[in-house]
Amino acid sequence: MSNGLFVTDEDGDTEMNGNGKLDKKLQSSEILKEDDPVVNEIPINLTVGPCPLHVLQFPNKPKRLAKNMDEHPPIAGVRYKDESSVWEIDIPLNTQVFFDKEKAAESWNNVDVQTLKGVAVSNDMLQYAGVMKQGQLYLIPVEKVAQMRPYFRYIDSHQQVKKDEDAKAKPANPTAKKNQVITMSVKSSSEANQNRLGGALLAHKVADEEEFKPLEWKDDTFESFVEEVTSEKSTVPLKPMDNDAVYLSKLF
Amino acid sequence: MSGRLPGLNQGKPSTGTSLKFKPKVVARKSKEERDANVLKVEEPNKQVEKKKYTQKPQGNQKRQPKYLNNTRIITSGPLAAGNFSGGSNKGNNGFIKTEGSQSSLVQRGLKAVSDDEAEGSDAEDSKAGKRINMGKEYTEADFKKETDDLFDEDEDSNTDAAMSEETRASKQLANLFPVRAVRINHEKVDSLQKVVQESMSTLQTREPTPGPVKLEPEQSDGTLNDIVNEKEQQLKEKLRLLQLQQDFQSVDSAEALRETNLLFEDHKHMYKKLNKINDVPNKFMFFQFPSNLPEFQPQPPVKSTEEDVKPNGEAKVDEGSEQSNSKNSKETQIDSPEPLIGNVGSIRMHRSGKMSIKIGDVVMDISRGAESTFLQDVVTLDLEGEEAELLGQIDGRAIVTPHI
Repeated sequence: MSNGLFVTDEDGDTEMNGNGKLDKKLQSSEILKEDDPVVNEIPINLTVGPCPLHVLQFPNKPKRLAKNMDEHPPIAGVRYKDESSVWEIDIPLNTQVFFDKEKAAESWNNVDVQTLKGVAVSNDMLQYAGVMKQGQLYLIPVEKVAQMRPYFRYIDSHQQVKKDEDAKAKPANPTAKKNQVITMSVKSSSEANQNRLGGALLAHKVADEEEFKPLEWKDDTFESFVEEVTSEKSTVPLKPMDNDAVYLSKLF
Repeated sequence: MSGRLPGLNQGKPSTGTSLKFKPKVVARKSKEERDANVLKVEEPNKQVEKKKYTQKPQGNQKRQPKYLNNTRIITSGPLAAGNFSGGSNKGNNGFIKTEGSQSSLVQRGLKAVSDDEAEGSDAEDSKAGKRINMGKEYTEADFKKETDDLFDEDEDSNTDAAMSEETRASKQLANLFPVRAVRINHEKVDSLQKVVQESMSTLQTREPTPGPVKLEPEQSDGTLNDIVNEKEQQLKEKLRLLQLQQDFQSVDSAEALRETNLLFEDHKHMYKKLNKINDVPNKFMFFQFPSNLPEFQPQPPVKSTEEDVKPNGEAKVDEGSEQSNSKNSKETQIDSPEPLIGNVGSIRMHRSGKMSIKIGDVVMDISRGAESTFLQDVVTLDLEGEEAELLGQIDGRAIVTPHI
């Protein structure tokens, strides 16, 4: 390190003599180059996959599952809402252990899957998934990231059924009538100001009104995907148009 | 009575005889008498208590330790108690439950999982077997080691490919057990704060010095050039200092050194990992780039190769798309500037162990992102074919920032 420091000092001096006033940034980058030669390089190739990539995060599944694809949680069904970008995944439950079959049959419509749900979110920065193949790094843009969290639809639907039953059970109740009047008024006002729905409420509304599109889940397409992504054209070097200063000025 | 309030001594009765304590001696009762008393009062109570105890598991070992008397132990939530593992041989073993269901399958699965976790790090731990991590607390160093081990384990995955169906089932079973977020015990916070304070104080002594210099120009406007020169020199001095500390704007040189060491370690780790996932199926690394990349010239030769490659497959569709491309070539370029395909640069490993990334002509910094402890899948979404394809998992994260 100390030797390197001396070298950079000399370089700086010679440049001072040559240019008089020196550009600090230029100097620093030059120091970087000469002080610290590049030993090894991994080429970066930007590519585009045939379809958009999403990343699904499973906060309730440990990472060590990724060690072996066989141990990856099996998936019984996938659904996706395109417009509101909502994912829903069914993971079959092990009904042999820690599972109350009677209760499931009794009130939860024989549920035997765990449903994970998440909204895919895009990001301002550029996100890529990198694949290494033959010493080269291929970057495929990641469109959205979703966090898949347990969603207890069977409980919700059960409660909804209960509520409906309760409402049917006492239609003659005067208090219920009053309630209805109130809800009516709310409804009318919301209709008048429908445009005011914004943010989360709007997103909810859009998501509720959209139908899920069932998808087929495949997990053996990695090879063909990589084949497709690592085509020759992705290794063709591109000519850069920006240099350091221009790029930095574009950022701010 | 000289106008003073009466003191303690003055208030004393001047009789001269002080009070003395004379304990009253009570004759000890005979044994028969005592026994009779005890029997009358305590016999029913004792019996009740005995009954209670017999219902509980025998022995006092499972009862709360004395120092936890009158305290409520919270085992979950943000205020959860830390480690008070009873007989564990190491402090970091945490609150580990050794019981569980009686099913031997469960037991085996738990053991397999705990062995997985202990693999490589501590051979002793695996002897204990049958354990779940119920809120293990890590020190920072331990955590780092363990996360590193997580990736080192990958090498072993080939060996247990021949794992029997039964052990796989038991492992999957063990995965049903609750997972807790990893908690890191930040012991070093205190010392870090001290360091920060020190550096702060040195900053304070440094900053006020230009103060008087600032005052002078207001009094004499004629020497403006001198002041500008002076300030320029100050700036240059500062810049020089900053450069010496290699981009870390810390004042303490020892701290800067530590920082660089950490950075190098991270870079080494990333480089290792990149090499590790080379040609390994189902493994991805997540990259974060700034919102804009340097621009590149869309190259005509790229298009020609595009034509060469594509006709093998669906010729009709491609022709159509190419025609539309040629028609609206300008529009498509404006509409979709994204499909940038080609070699844009490289990740470079320097001799010192530093890593940098070069995109076009721009050199950028690359740093290691926070590792996640949970599973992350990469999925391609094919809405037309109505398919979701699981491609693999994300292993590691790198963040690329512009070098300023």
